Amino acid sequence: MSSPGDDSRSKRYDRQIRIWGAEGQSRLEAARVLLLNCGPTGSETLKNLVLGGIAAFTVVDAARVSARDLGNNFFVAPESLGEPRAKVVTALLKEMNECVAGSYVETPPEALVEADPGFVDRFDLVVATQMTEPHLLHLESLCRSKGVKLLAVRSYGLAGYMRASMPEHTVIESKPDTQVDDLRLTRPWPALREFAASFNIEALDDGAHKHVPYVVLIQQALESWRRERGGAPPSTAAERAEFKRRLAGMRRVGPEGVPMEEENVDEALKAAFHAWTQPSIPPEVRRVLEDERASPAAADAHTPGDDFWLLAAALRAFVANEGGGCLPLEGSIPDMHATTDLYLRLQRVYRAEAEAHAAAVEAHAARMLAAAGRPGGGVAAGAARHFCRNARNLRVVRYRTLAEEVAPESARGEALAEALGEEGTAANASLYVLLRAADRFHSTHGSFPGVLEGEVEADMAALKGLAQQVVAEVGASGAAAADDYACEMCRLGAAELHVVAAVMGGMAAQEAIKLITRQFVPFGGTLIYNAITSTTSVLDL
Amino acid sequence: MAAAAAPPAAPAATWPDVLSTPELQERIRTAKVLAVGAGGIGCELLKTLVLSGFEDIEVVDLDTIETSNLNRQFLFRKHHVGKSKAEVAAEVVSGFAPRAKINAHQANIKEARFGLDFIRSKDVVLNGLDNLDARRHVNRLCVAAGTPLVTVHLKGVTECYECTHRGSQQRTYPVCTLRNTPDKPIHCIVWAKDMLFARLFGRPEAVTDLDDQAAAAAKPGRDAALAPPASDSDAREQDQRAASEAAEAASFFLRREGEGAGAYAGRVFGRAFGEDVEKVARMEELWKSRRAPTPLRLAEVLPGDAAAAAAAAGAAAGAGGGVARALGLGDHDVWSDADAARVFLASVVAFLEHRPSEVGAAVFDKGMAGNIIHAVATTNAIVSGLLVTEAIKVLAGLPQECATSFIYERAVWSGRKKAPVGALVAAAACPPPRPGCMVVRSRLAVNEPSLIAGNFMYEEGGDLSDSEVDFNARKLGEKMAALPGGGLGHGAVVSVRDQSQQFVVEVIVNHRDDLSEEQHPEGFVLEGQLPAQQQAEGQGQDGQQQGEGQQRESGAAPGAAAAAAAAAGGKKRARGGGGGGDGHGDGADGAKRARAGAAADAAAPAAGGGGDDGPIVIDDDEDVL
Repeated sequence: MSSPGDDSRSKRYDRQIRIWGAEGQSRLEAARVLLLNCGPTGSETLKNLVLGGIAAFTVVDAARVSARDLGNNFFVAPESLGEPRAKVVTALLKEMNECVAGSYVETPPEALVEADPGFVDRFDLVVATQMTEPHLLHLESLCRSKGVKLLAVRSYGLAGYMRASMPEHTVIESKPDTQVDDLRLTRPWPALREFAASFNIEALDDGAHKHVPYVVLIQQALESWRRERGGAPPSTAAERAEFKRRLAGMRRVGPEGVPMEEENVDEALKAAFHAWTQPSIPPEVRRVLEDERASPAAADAHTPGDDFWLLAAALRAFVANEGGGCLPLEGSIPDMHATTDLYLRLQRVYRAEAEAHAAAVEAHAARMLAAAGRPGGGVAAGAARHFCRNARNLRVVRYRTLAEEVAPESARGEALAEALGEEGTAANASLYVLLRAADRFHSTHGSFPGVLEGEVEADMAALKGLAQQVVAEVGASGAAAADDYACEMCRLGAAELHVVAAVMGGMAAQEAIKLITRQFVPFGGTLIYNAITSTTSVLDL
Repeated sequence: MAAAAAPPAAPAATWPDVLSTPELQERIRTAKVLAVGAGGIGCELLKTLVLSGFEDIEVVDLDTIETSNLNRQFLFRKHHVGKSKAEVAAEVVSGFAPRAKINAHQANIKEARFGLDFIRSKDVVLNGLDNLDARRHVNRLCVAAGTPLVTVHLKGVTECYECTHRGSQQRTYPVCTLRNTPDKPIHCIVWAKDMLFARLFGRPEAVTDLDDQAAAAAKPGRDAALAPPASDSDAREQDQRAASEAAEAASFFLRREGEGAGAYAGRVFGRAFGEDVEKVARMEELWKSRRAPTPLRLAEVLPGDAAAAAAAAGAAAGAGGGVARALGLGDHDVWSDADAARVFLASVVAFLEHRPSEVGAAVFDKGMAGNIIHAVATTNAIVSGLLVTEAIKVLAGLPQECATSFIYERAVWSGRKKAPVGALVAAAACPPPRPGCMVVRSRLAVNEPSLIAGNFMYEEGGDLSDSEVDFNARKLGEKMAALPGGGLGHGAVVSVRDQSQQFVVEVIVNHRDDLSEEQHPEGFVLEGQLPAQQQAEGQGQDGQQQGEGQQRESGAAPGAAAAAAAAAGGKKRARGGGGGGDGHGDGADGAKRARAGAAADAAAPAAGGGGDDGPIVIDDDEDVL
């Protein structure tokens, strides 16, 4: 399967495939994105996704290109003044990447959502930009009912807002920056023991000696340590130091009494902690395993292509049974000093055990499916292995609904009060409150505060009043939004500044990519960008 | 809260109120901006600048457009591949913003014509550079010219780029440099590893930057006018042609039906070291200020018998041997893939350096073969938005509002201090200049210093291997008196040389007891006048356990062209708390922290002094003229 088209594609996306891999890229290339409103915030967000190579996008926007657009949106041209903005932006976005299909609908997004609720069905992700709270609430319930992910993004003066909404987002590849190698030297299985014991290290010639993999050196040292000390691995600082001295003692000494350069011994010393570090289950993964969805009942709800909770249930069963409290073995080994042959043999030992663990997990899943009366509906080939290989990286992000966030009975007033009161977050929490207040202002006045000439002072007072109302309603008693920020918001009106839109578009596309590729961990709350102080805060409300 | 503090002269000019004033709009419109780089950040930057009202912009970039740029450098299309980044970017942006006057140069920012006078003529410089070396150069020019550089430096008010980013080793290289203008061994290594090796030994259907080059080179009129093709169908046709050329280029590296191993090797050699080099040599713009490369001919490199032997070895390889045996190295114990790859790299590098006799002899450190930067559109977009925001603050006359921003891959930051958890973008006020930063004082800065004093030697530079870098870095943590070769004490003469700028200066170390920490927190005084032959004085403090007592340093700097300079070694001062580094730079620079830590380790056990940075020295700012 190779054509010039494929080639230029892998070439074009080379730098990002280095980040999210071929699998992530193919998910991106299958994604269909709906953009609501294509001002600078929406256009910039979509630009970043089109460059990345999504399958298709549709732009919904009712505006005509105005002089103001020419000043803040890169994806309109002077000669298109007066034309439908959705059409112009779509055409210019498509120019950036011929692999991406694009279409547009010239209508107000709010109206489209009312008139054709099934419209969102055709998309994987809805990016709603510059929409006010009442419309977002409506859109959210629609997206939730259709199972479509929603990302709301907004630039307002020098403030930015972003929030995702979907019941939950599961991640198998959260891709932590660093991870300790899963060597299991404290819990060796028979094949690893045998492999390590098969080396008569003393008898090897010098050339072979320095090619013994360090895993074998540590394993042998640990075995003899345990034999001497009643089975316990080194635990106290003194014992660990003593153990390291033993490892160091494995280094050959040359005829002149000079210690030889043996990189495998150096590596063993660096990796000595494996001799006393027990495999553990990270707290985030423990939460996944203890989740009520990670139960045999997951088999009932299992749909092909989404194995997460079924496999989580199977994983839980594995940990409780075969695993003896541990996650499955990851099965890969780090680079180490060894002959190619020995390295491959060691790799086989690890891989075989990892495959046995994955098979056990898969068997649990099959048993659960059979018990649910759905035999044969097994998990996709290789899915269990992939899941097990990433067992330490599993994550679940759940999103409250926007409705829960704003309704007085379910709002987290205390959390808001805390954010408003704390030095590090006070300014950004104020912006959050003021954005909501501005939407209320808009609902009653039909325009945003400060937009109408000559009304600025009056609008400021009104906005402050509405902000107090928001704070009081959610029960954030004793807290208040900063007054000077209310003034700022009025002074700049609801202007969509390009410097803010560029930042929001970058961050929104980054989150969209996480949601689409199912890699990395998206943030869970409401993000506020403050261009006055160049900071962001994520508020969990 | 946002801008309450430090009101400048005009009462209205507070941030962000000033944004809505017509005065600032006019200032933005007329401001002379230099954008360095038209790559990932540069594209975003130009767009954000014009959409923020900037109209007078100059952009400098040496690179040409590659296919692998298209996933983020959104001003470029497929039919632009092979053209100048700066020129295409300027043209595309001008098309969208006809009022903007964008002046483009396909050139290296280090060229003399972009010197001090040029930088002085700008109101603000924005940096979209991808390599440390050029970034340093721009920083120094801006410091010397007094032109604000965003987000990196504002002279006198905030710290400069090198206050925090000193000496960290760049490990990534732009593709354009690798392919067209390699001038270091490491460039050759990365070229061989990421391009040629992948082409010869990778998946046959994979495409590397080599193919791109072939396709771009084969395209007619690539050096001619940059005008876009007359119509869409022209563009499509050109794209298709380029694609089929790329495919053909890829298959070139495969062994053909019935082709002998020697012939195959000869053909690949001819392409990689001959024809491709000729093509690059024809790009005249590149060789205005550097020597054009000369192609290698197999017949000249391996005359007669040797070529036959190589062909025979190749045939043997065909009979079941690996790369190693093909190179005639079959007698080694065991060759893993990694070994073979390393020998391959070493061999190719030897060829590129015109030293074919050393084929297979030099095996490089694993770590030397650096990686190509991975990159996506999103981060560039965020950065450009932040950069322009800072630039506007500068033009508004509010440098005190400027911030140093940090962007995190994950929206969680659990760093030191009261860092907000959940920050994707976090900001800190710009710190004041770091005492002891030689650059921000407009005094002395070296690129790749080497120091010699008696038996002591210290080296920096891109040609050093990893182990040499480590070896030298360890010296930085030492007290001067404890340095190898007997130590540097009162009266020592240190010869400081910087190959990168033909610069030599001698420093005389004098020790002095009466240095107050308040007045000289960096622990030494560096004195000397420009241009030369002036008395200079420096002083250092050395709390040696061994009882050498305190020293006093002063340096006299002979030499004609250069400035006077003085060096100070890693000193140890009794400091409250002791232990760690001195806290400047605020954790933004891991390398620095590591260095400070090393200093603490090296300190005598009884004393808990903080280590300062070692003999990182020095030079004048003449080199920028």
